[in-house]
Amino acid sequence: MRTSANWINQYLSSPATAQEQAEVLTSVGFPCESSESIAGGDTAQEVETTSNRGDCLCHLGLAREIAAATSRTIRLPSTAAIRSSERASVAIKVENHEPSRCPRYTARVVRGVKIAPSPQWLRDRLIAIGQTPRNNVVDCTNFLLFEYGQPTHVFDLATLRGGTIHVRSAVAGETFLPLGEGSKAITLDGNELVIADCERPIALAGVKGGALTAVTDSTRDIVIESAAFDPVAVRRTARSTRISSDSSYRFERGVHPADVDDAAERLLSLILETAGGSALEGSVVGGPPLPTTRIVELRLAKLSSIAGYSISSDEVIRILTELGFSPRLSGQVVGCTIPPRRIDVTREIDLIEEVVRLAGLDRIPMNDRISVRPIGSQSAVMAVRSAKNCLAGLGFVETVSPTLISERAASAFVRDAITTLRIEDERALGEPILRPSLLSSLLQSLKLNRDRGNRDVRLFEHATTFWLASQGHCERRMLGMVVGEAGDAESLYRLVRGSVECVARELCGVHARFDVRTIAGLDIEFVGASALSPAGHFMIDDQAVGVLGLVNSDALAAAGVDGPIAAAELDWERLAIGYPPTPGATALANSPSLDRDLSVVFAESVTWAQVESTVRSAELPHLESIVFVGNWRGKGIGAGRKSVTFRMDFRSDRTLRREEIDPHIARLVGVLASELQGEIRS
Amino acid sequence: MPSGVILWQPFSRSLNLITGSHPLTEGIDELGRSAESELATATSVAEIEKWRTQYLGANGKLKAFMLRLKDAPGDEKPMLGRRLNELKSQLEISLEARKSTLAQARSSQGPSGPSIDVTEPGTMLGKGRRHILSRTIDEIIDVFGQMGFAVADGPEVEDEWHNFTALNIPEGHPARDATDNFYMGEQSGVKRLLRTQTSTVQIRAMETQSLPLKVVAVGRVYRPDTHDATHFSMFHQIEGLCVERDLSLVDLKTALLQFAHAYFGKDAEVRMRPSFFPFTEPSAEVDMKMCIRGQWQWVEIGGCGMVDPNVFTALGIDPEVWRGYAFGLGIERIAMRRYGISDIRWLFENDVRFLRQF
Repeated sequence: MRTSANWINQYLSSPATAQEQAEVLTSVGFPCESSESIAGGDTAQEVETTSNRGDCLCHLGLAREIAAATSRTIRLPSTAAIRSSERASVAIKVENHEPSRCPRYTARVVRGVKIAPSPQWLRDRLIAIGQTPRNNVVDCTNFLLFEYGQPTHVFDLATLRGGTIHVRSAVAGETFLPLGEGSKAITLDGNELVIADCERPIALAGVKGGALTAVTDSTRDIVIESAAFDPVAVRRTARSTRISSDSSYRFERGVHPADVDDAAERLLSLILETAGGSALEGSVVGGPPLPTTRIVELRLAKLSSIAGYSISSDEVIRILTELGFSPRLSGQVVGCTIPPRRIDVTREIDLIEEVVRLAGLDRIPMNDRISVRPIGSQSAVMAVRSAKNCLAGLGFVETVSPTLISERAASAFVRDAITTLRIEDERALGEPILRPSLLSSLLQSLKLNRDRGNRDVRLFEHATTFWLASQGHCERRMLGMVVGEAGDAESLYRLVRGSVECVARELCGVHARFDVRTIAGLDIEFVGASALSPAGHFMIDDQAVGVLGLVNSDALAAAGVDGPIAAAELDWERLAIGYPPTPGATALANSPSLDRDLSVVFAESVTWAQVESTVRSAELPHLESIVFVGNWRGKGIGAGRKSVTFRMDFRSDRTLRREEIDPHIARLVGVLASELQGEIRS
Repeated sequence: MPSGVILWQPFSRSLNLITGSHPLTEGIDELGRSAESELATATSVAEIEKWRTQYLGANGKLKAFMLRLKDAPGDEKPMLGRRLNELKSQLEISLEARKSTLAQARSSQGPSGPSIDVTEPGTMLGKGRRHILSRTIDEIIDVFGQMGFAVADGPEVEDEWHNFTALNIPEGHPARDATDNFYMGEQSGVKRLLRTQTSTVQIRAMETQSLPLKVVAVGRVYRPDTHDATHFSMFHQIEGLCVERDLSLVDLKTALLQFAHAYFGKDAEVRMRPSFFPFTEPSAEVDMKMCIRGQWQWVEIGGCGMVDPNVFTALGIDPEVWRGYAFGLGIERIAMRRYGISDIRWLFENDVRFLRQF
């Protein structure tokens, strides 16, 4: 809210400089965002208010805070207005059909006003806070809004039809022409709260007055509306009609029905002063009786236990008095009468906050130590850290990318069995899908890096993926990685697989068994599989933990990148389930190992997994390990065939001799020939 | 002069006394001379080994002469054979002498190694990097871990109960507006949204864990925003919650100060300014004075307060028995100020050149 320092000083027993105002307001919770010298030796300052303090969206409200914080007193403006003998209720009637949405509606009538430009003092005040002066009556309502914080409205009595003001729900389909240059008629949907005469809406309650009943230069008699509207009702009307105003902003933060009349009397006196005329006797009221005054008790013991330091009862009483709570100390309990404007104060804790706030948060002392219950090592945290550090060590850069993605980016992952979760909002800016797989984001990041000429990029991300299942929404934390550097498809794939195994080893320990099984057909368990072809399940101890493979043509096209790109996406919970691993030592033979390499030519259809399991099933004595060395295709091998080279290590508790192993190797060659039609490469 | 050459002189004279002028004999003499002079120029282990292979190896020059013996006249064979054996012995002696000379020379100059250009660049293996946000998160949860806060977790898609109702944000509150939230369609009668704050994890922790409780929750939160240098519709928060029978604002402010000292250094300071959050009361904004590239500056880093009694009541916890404090800090805000990141979008576009700066 834009404030005028001079205007605030109008209500203080002694003036405060603009700088003091800014400092004091900031210290009690109303930070001053900017300060600007303006005409007339005044200073305009932008003061931020929290959403619970609608009562401080006005100069009087902020002056009260300054007074309370600096032991000044408040000088309230005059509200004396001379009344004529004619009763307002004769000139106008009010029927409130919506007492819950409008707890108080009041109408006052002034006859014989003379519409003219405002006096200079009034124009200066409004200009100081960035408002445009219009005419004396309208300016008075604006002045009051920023003085008392009470939105009001003035109708031209002559334009009202039927002599009664109705507070009612809009009728679906009826139209309303709001005030304002070039405004267009809007059609109401029936949920809005409106002020109407006997024929038509004349205002959107709390939001905007109507053009057809507005004050004009020829207006003589006016009706002053001062009312309280339910914040939710005002907000709904403002949202559905897409109209917001200083009034709706204020009402959305709550106006108490008991404050309505004081403000209206002040407005009446301002109008009589600036536009003349005579006020009719009384006011016309629609709505339930005013709620009773609230009394809230504050226990001094509770205050000091929450504050953590002691605040004397004298100081408590002083603060509460200056805030207008009329405190009465009885034993160790302070009874407070809550002023209506403080709709935010309903409980003891609210009073505690008021005392602590005004006493100053800087006064809260701090200890030089804290007491701690040790929590030990947090394995869930450490597992994530181990995996990330491991991948960074393997040359992968960690990404953090937006959760929301575009339809196009999601397209490669959407299949019959998967329903994506989406935001129902046009502000998602074309990215309404909660990503079902991290691979879409990783591919986009890869593309950005390639477009900028960053070569040899390996990326990973650890984040949540989302989809919709029959029982509701599902979240799954995943670890995704892509490798898009120079190299053929096979070497990139093997780099990803090796990296996956490295991370899995870090998390699962040396005894876990890893394996990759080819995925046949549609995989509904891992969304990432739909972007990969060929693809395999990464298995840990026979459980599928995720997928890995080469990014397929659809996904490459959707991301706009060229292959080959290898990728993996793993279910984090399953991957980390064994963390921390519990290692144990085994006695190892000290004798040297003996190695033998074999190169065997197979048909393309024979997989490494088959070769490995065939070698293992041959039960070669002393076989310690079997390691894939490489493939060779082409010259000398023949079409549709490949040569697979692998190394076997043999070890015993004594030194082995080649002659011991040779017969078994010969037997193995026979087994590979008979079971897999393998031929030793000459 | 190398010792090998001194030894060669008497040997040469003795050969001359014994021999005539057979071509093979002259070849042997020539071989002896060239071997000795080459050995004298060998200055490294590799060069000496090369010399040894060349002259004394299984396929060396001496061996070649041996093989040629069979073509020599029968009566000269024994003499020539003996001379070759003598030459072999002499060269072996010269070799050992040369080695020991070089070893002495080396030991007087200190150890030696292969000759390479050590200014050549290294092979870059570790081009990987953790994201600066995830490293910042790790550092912060480590500090809070030392302070006894265990990490708690919760979903990113939340129901209205956890995101609003339980946090004392009633129906109709402006914070529930569609303009300030990413809502999803209703599923099984429950309206869901992307969480707007990690405070939701406070509720989940109090629902599932026994009291007293001391947790931090960290993760992504979402608020519709037009993306620019300082706004993004997704960011990270760290939320702390402590529930004990007896806690006060002093405990809250002390915890924040202890964190500031541990994370930003002993000269860091903490300042609280009154504010409003529905789920805490009293509530405050937290500023910390941190050192940014040599300059100590106040930075707004989040909000805090005592847990509002309504939050406890919503969870069936008696606010007359239990007391809590809570705080929420913005990870991006801390990282951006600390490392001079002037555009929040850099954090989420994942250009590896940017990510490798940290």
